[in-house]
Amino acid sequence: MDVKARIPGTIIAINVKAGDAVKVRDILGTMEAMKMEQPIPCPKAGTVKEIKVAVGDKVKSGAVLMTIE
Amino acid sequence: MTTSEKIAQLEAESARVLACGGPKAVEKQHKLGKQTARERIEMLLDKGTFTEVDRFVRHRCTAFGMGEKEIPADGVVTGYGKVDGRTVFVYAQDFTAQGGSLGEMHAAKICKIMDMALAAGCPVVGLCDSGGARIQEAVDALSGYGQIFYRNARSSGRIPQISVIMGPCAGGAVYSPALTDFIIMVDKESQMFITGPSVIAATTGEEISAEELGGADTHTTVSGVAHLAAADEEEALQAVRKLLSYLPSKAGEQPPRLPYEPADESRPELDGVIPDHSNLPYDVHEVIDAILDADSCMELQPWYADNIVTCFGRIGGRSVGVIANQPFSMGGSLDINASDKAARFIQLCDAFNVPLVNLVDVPGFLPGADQEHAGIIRHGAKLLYVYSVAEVPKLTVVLRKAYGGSYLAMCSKDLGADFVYAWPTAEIAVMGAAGAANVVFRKEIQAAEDPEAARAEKIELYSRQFATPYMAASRGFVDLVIHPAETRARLLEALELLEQKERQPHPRGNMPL
Repeated sequence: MDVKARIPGTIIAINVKAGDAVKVRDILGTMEAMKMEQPIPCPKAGTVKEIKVAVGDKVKSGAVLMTIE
Repeated sequence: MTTSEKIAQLEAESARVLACGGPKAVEKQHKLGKQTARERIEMLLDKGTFTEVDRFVRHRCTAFGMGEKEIPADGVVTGYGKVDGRTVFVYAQDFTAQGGSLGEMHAAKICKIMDMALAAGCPVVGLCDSGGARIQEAVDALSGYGQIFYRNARSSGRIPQISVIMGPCAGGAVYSPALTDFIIMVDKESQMFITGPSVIAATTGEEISAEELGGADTHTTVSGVAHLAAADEEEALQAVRKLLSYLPSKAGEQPPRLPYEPADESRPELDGVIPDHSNLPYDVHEVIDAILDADSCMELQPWYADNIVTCFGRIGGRSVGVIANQPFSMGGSLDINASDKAARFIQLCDAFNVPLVNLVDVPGFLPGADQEHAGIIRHGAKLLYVYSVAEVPKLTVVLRKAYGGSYLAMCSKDLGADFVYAWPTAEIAVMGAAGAANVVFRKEIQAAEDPEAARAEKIELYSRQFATPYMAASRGFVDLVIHPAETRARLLEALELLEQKERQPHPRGNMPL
């Protein structure tokens, strides 16, 4: 499943790497959006398959940030 | 027949109906981890309080060999009983009897219960577990649905209506729950959709499972159709009992009030909730937990549009509805889904005399073409509308950001708030300091030798002067600037003060939004 940006903003931290096991609502990273730091919660338990963004990237709402299997 | 034979006949006839769809069908239902309609009613109501109505109703269909077909209770058990000593009316579709399919008489039983509930001024709880329309009954079944929808709409805002989905609920059947005030779905055993996976596959080629299409998870996270997902039937029915505890039996009455002993109402932990830097989020649940009576919070739609929190709770034993921006999610900004979620909750609280407590930390309506094109204007307008027309006590606490139109929308003084409190951390302004400084001091910043330094200086200047509660307080838009720690005490005081608040007797339906 894809983890998507819910709001346009800038990636300021990524806390996981490919292969990490994650649980629902783990904080996968942080975005800055609406002039506020926004945690990126994990929507589903699984394993991080691929991270599609890097720190500093500007993303649109709905952009795929990472995929979880 | 002798009298005793006649009494024995009543017992025999009853026993036949009480067996539901027969031992085999009941066993099958149990094997699926599901209870029968009668067992569910027992679980919902106070022990031994259920009285069944229309036990001997029988269908009138003769088409396709239906004439001989016996369907116990015509597939739906109806009646009344007590929840915490208060009367509620209930119907429970019986999947073991002809798949709980809805025909003319099945619908007539539900309608009768709804009419009785409205006449008595008591809530209706519907336990849905039905394969859908009884095809053999054709337009009679269709008419049955229509009559239920009509009553759902006409009863809306007059008596509480709660639907629990405990099995399939597909096609037109979904619209009865959708017209009620709350939908609770049992996880992994209930699905709601207009058109099922097979029709979707046939028409668009899209492959999707029933669970993914319309399961509890989908409807509590993606669509917002349901208010709560319960792990099992017991949890779902307990949630119904809890929901009812916050509501009066009918509009015009006050919600039940629990006994409360005055105690130390100071909540010093609130002084430490707001971070020093305004770009850092926090969890508004910390504020909610501190102002409500211990363990009194019941959140609705926690995983849908979580940028706004809606929950019932109690302050000093009185029911309240809390609407809170959640800085943890999307910065607490208002988008289409948050507007709809909050608006319907506010409408519900207004209909049933539940005072509103609004916790404001909102940077604005969410910017973007997606939101504009999907109609944020007309969805956001619902929030302004319901707050304005609501006549229950309206208490607003500005915790931090309150910018522009979103400040107004979150029950500002101008929308009729009875009390507006602001914490010293409040920033009530047209926009955030950075944006405002760029506009107000554009020329100075451009002309400066070091524009970035000038910008930072002007932002600081603007924040000090305008990103505070004092500008709004100087005009009376804020009634009191308070220590965060005294918030609960102030709310308690206001609720007491507004106990007798006058209300215009206009009808308040809880229209689906």
